[in-house]
Amino acid sequence: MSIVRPIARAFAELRLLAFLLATNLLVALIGSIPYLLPALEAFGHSSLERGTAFPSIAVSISFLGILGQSAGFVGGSAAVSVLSAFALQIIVASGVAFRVWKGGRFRLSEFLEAIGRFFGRNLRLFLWSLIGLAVAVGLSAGSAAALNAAGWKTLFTSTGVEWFLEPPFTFTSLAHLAFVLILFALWRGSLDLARVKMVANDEKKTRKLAWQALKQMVRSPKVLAGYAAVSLVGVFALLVMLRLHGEIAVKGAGKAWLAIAVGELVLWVRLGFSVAGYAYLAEKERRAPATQPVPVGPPVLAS
Amino acid sequence: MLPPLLAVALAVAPPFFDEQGRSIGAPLSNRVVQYQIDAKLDPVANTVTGSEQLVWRNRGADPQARLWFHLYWNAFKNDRSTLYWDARRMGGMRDEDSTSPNFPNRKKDEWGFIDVTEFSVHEGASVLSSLKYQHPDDDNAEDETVFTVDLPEPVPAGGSITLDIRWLARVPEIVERAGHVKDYYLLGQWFPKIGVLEIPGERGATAPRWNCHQYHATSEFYADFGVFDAHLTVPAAFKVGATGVLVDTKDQSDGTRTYHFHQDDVHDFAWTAWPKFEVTDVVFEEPDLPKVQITVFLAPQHQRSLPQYVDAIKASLRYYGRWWTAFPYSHLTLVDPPADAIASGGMEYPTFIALVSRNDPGEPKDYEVWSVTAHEFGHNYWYGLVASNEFEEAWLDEGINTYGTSKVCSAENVRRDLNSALPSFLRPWFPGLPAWTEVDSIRAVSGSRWDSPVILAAWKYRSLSDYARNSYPRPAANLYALERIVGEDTMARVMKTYAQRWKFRHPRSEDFFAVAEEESRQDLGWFWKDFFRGTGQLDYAVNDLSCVEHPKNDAKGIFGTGEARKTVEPPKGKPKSDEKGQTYARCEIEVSRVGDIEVPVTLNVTFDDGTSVREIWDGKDRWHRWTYDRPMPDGEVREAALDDHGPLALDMTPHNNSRTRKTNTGSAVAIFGFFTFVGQFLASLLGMFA
Repeated sequence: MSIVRPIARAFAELRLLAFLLATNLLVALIGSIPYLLPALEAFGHSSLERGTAFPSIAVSISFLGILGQSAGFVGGSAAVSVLSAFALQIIVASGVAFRVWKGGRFRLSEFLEAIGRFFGRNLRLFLWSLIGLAVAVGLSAGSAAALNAAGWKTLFTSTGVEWFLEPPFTFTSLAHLAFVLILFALWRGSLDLARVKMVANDEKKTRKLAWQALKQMVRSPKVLAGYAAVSLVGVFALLVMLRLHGEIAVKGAGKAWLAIAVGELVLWVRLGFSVAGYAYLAEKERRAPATQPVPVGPPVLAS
Repeated sequence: MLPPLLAVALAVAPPFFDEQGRSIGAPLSNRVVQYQIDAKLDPVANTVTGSEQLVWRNRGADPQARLWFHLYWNAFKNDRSTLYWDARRMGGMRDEDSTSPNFPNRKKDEWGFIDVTEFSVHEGASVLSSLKYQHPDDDNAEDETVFTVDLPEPVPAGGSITLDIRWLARVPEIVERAGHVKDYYLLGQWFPKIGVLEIPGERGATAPRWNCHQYHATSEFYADFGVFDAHLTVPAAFKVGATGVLVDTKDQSDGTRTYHFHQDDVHDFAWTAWPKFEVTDVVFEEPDLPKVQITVFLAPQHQRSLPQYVDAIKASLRYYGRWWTAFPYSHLTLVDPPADAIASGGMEYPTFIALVSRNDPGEPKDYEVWSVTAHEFGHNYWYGLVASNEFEEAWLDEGINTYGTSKVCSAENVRRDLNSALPSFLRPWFPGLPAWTEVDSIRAVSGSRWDSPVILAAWKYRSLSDYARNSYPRPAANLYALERIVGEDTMARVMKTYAQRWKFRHPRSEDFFAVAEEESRQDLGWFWKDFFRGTGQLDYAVNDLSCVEHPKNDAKGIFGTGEARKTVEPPKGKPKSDEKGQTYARCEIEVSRVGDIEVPVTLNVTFDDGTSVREIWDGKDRWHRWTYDRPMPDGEVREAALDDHGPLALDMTPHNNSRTRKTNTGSAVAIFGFFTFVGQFLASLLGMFA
């Protein structure tokens, strides 16, 4: 199956993407609003570095000094913003899976209703998936430590100085990176697939869902490769958008607002490819043969 | 054939030294010491066994019966040394985290030491039994980095003594820029080195006095000039670079090779050895400057940095040679350590510098390669030629050299660029990442409300960062402010006169200050007091700018007496126009002295009609206010800004040194947008785990 169709499908979900972008913006504002007042106070009537593209060093240094005086407040708001973002992403994930499975016209009430209906199951599914994440992290860290002990540096075991002076892009380190990315794609893909299966079948047994989705991803390298391909195209598109964003030399209020607008476009692309991953798996699920009986999970996971 | 005048102009300046490192003509320095060193490196046991014959001349008017010596490597002998005490007290040392509970985190074979095994007067008695460790800087009886010996006969005034010294040293795992990693060695401060006997008139001395400080976590070095001749024996596979000129090599039947180096008129000797070095020789030749042979000892993985090394060192030789004084030595050695030995990089010794490079350098001019090369070579002027006392006045080397480094970087448009920190294949994707100049860096870290004075012994600072800030960027920023006060041309003369007058002579801060006052013909006592000896902060702020529109005559109240008395009502509503339909703007500007340093300030006031006025204030009171009454519609003040062409370049908070009447939303929106975007982006990335 082409990966173009799910990507196109995702970017056609204009209302869904607008909703996701709006919530993302709201959460980010929790973190950034506290910067605005000191910024206005300090620079609202200052001509420091006027005409120099932001972030000029003089402005940045002065601003960081000001922030340092209220580090607790600023740090607190940043922490609240991060936690809110994380929670929100989990909550809306079931709504996104529902949308790409159901299709048709986007209705906010229907979307919110799906989020509410699947809230508990989605949360349990996420918690089950953490076991898989822990295994993936353990394998990544363990292999990195083993390679390091054998004298082979990996991207994760090189010090900051080594990264700066001699970036460790060797065959071994890149092979290890590929291994880590495959593990991560396997974990993330199986979580997304489980969510799609959950909304598709209105399945309530989340542990079985998580296990079934993981097995399906392991047994279907093509699906895994397709899912990874969507993600890689997304990374490339994101780099292009970041390059565009970086081209804007902010020398005044107008360019500052333009940079904000282009920044939203960058986020739009990022969110679009995030939805595209679900769309790809939903398409796969739709084309799959009739659902096999859900096997019993491994004893170690039995509750 | 070139016309005679052009031929003269293009002629290379005559050399000061011959091809064996010996001076041509009169000695350049007063040659207090002559070292003849024989040393053998055992890379299996990581030891250096050495002997030295030292001729020392007593320049003082009094006989000297007791001689003072450094034994630097004993600082790495155990965790009780003053160096490690300092590191714990000051929160760190170079490349090591002293906050770790395991600090110093060294395995048993990573400690180093140096033992004097024999010490005798040449063809005379041993004085080893009189060897006694001294602690001139603290009460740490466990520190063994300084010792004295008592002579059977004092060295008479003006006389000399020849000493035979033998020692055994174990090379530490690299620490404080010296030591080894595997079979890579960088050996600095590695032999017993005599202290400096300062004589009256030298650095404020009124009577002969020994200056021989312990090795501290923050201190560097100070020594007398002389002649260094060294025979270094290593396994034949090792490639060796050292201070001075390689005179010859000799292979032995036991598979070792002896390298013979010599250099007149230096005050220290360092060397490196590693089998894997790739060695490249280049020549620096410029009209009006002496020729310099350059040997680069390169880690193989840094091949791509080699062209930049060569360009950077040639540019530095050219700029410093023309700005300050010609580099007199005929040979210069550059050492490029491998990444796992990078802790030995960024260090200077006479005619021998250890650098920092990358296997994927930024193009066209990598900041690390260029700035470190310019910086370490610059030390060959202030530490090397001028040879101030780094223990007691670190700024005279580090601060002046930071200023010089930034001058070279500015001249060559070398910028610190976050983009070049990325692997080269990613750099085209992130062109807009921040980049800043060396001057920006100096400004960024030059000030703190907790500053100690710039002039302070290195080990007396509150912390490592206090030492670093007040020895590197703060004095460099002060020199930039001085440049603004006296003018660029005068500052260039100050630097040149200082370098040429004081080379080979051990100046102190007062000597630099005297040159600056002489060249500028200004009394700069206030500047030295506040910015080099003081701890105050310079902080002025334009804290108010407001304008009110009013008719020409807006007086109110009771005026006059008797029958002439009349009551004038205050105007209501919008300001009333006078008989010509003209209103006026009454604007007030207030400038405050927030910090405790008082300097004269100049305020530039610009009005809406484009005209401007300059106001001068002596800056002594806590605040000063100016009022203007000008006709509308263009009579309002548009902007008031303090002139930073002077000491105000050192203001702690430059953002409040100006004020516009109208809100300038550009910076605020940019900051807001930047943080919002970063927040959104991070939130979306977080979604990969949710």
